[in-house]
Amino acid sequence: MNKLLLVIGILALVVFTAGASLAGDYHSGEFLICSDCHTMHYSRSHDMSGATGTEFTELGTGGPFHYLLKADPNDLCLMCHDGGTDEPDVLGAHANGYDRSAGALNEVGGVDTYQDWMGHTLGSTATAPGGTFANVDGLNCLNCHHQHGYAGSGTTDMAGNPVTSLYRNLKYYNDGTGNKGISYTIDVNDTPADLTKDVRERYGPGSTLSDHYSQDNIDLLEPAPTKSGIAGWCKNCHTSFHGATGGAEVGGTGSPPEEWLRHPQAEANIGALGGGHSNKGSRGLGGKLYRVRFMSPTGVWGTQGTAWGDTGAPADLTPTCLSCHKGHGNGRAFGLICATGTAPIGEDGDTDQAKPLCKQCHTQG
Amino acid sequence: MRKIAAGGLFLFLLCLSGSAIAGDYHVNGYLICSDCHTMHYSQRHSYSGDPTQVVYDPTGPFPKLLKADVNYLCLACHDGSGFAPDVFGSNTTSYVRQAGGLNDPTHDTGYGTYKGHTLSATDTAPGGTWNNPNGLTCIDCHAPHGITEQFRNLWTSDDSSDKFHNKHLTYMLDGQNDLTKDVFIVGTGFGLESRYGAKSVKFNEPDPQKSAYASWCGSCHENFHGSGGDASMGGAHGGDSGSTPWLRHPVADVNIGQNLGSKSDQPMGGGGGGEDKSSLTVYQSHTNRVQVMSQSGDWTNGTDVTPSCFSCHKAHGNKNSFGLIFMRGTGTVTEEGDAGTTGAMVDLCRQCHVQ
Repeated sequence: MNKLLLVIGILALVVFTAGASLAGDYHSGEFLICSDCHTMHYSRSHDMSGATGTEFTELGTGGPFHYLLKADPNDLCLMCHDGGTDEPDVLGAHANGYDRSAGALNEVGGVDTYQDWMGHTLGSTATAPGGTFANVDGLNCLNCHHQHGYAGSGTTDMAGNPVTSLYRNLKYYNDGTGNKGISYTIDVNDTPADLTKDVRERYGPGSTLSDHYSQDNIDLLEPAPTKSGIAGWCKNCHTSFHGATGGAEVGGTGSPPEEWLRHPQAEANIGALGGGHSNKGSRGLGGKLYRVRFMSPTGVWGTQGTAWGDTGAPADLTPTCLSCHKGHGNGRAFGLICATGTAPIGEDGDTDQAKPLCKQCHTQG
Repeated sequence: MRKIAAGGLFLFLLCLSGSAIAGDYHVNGYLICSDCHTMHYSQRHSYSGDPTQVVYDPTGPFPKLLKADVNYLCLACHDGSGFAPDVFGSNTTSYVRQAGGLNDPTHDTGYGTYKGHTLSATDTAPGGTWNNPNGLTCIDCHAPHGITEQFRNLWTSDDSSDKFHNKHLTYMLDGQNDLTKDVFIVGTGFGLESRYGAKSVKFNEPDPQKSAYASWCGSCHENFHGSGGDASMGGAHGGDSGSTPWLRHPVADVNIGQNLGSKSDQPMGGGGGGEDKSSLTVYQSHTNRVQVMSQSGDWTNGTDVTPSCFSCHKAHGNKNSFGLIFMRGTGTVTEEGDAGTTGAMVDLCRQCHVQ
């Protein structure tokens, strides 16, 4: 199994513990280490300090590779991000002891118990559902993540707030008005969130992998009440799944909007409408002890394990892509988080049925 | 050609696996969101990863995140699938359906648009004022999310402004009758015929002056239903005593052959003043009988049997005009009655009448 270059691992560990801004922004700024990924001559017998462990010298077979990479992109990324304990393990099962916010990628033909219909599939040449994008050479990590983690000056998030670092180094997206980035904030010990950001990590500098990448510690904010930075980003490939209310993609009319053509991922507050729509009372979201993640403009998500009851749920929570899906995938069809609301939510949820996920907010049945 | 939508296999497995399924699929634990809804109008495989179980109406996306227009969607499973009740046109399985077959203007395979309920029809309901200007759909009658204890998920509502206000139509399953319920499904097990076959469905009469079934039909066909003495019905409680003739055929409140000895029970060919009345003797003389309500639960020898809508009509329709059941009394029973499509209306009338 390929492993991380020790020097980088040590550096990363130092950085984690030292408290610089880290989480998704490794591979960015001062933590963009050229030799993590590149080799000048496709020949490494030792690292920069002379160490000769295979974790430093390993190169992908079949090279040399374009861009002076050590290996093909997926192989290269997975050298550190599959099976490691110092970096987020993003492929298939992992053993790092926390429920990953993004879940798990899979590969063509499946990996572990993660089938290639359970989320994003490395190597897949399929066209993105709802869109036209396909990588004829197979989906790779760099199709979504910016390998150099750059956040250019002048870039803003969907709400128009400046972005100085891209969440998880996710690439820019274009919302029709120019490049946008997903903004984020790293709080210190669960301090109140910066409500102008798209995403919040609860526990900041000096923390563990779990603090940075556990689903329990990642919150979704809603700096613009009619938009979702996450959904805007996903739209890059899944084009027709997302769009403005009233548009051809998702439909929706009125205020609060209803009559959707596709499930809303912004502007639809849970419980804003009665009848057969979503419900934030005890029969719906308010009755759930454990809730999937929603965007909040006020930073109020409640406490997992405690139900809001009939009247306690905030009126401004909005579902978005990551409410139902794992960014990478998981062990369920479509990477869905099948959560009943009665038990702590693991990466797959707590059941193998999709309906309970619907019933996080909806009451039918 | 109707196609199997995602969830079809799941539905099939549920049907085989055997929980409470009979009009109470699409309700409570058997209301499966993904049977009908798609979040993004883009589904390439089922929830078990099977890419062959996914078919869409290609003209979407559709309101309410449905996989297709309502009728198309319902018929994806309910027309020819083999695993769900076939409700449209002829039955692909071999039993006589309680409700018969729907029709629509574009699929006349013997089920013409004058032979029962017509999907997509914009006509005003006979006897009433209601119509669907966008065309009749399955969910004009059936609640898509089910209603607990409501037969076949037929609509009822607590809303006093709703045409289905308090139109409860209760039922019992699996051979365990309860005379306080409106319908009794005699069949046991989970085969389609056991649940949806005409032989498996009986009708109770919890209130001898009313028919919950007729009341339900009256939600649209308003003037066709009521108790004896109602302005739309004429007659009187317990039948026509001679001074208050019926204005429309009764659907409740009069037993077959009631008022024995006066005008309501006459032998075949009997003369006198009672020629237009029903005869229990005649009704019970038939081997094949149309369905009736019974207050006592004795549909064979009971003296308390009352006709209602289903006695003469298939709820969905059949190959006869008005979805009528031409039942002479002997022979092989089909959805059109034992006289089939070659019979006549008089065959049906003579189930009870003597002329």
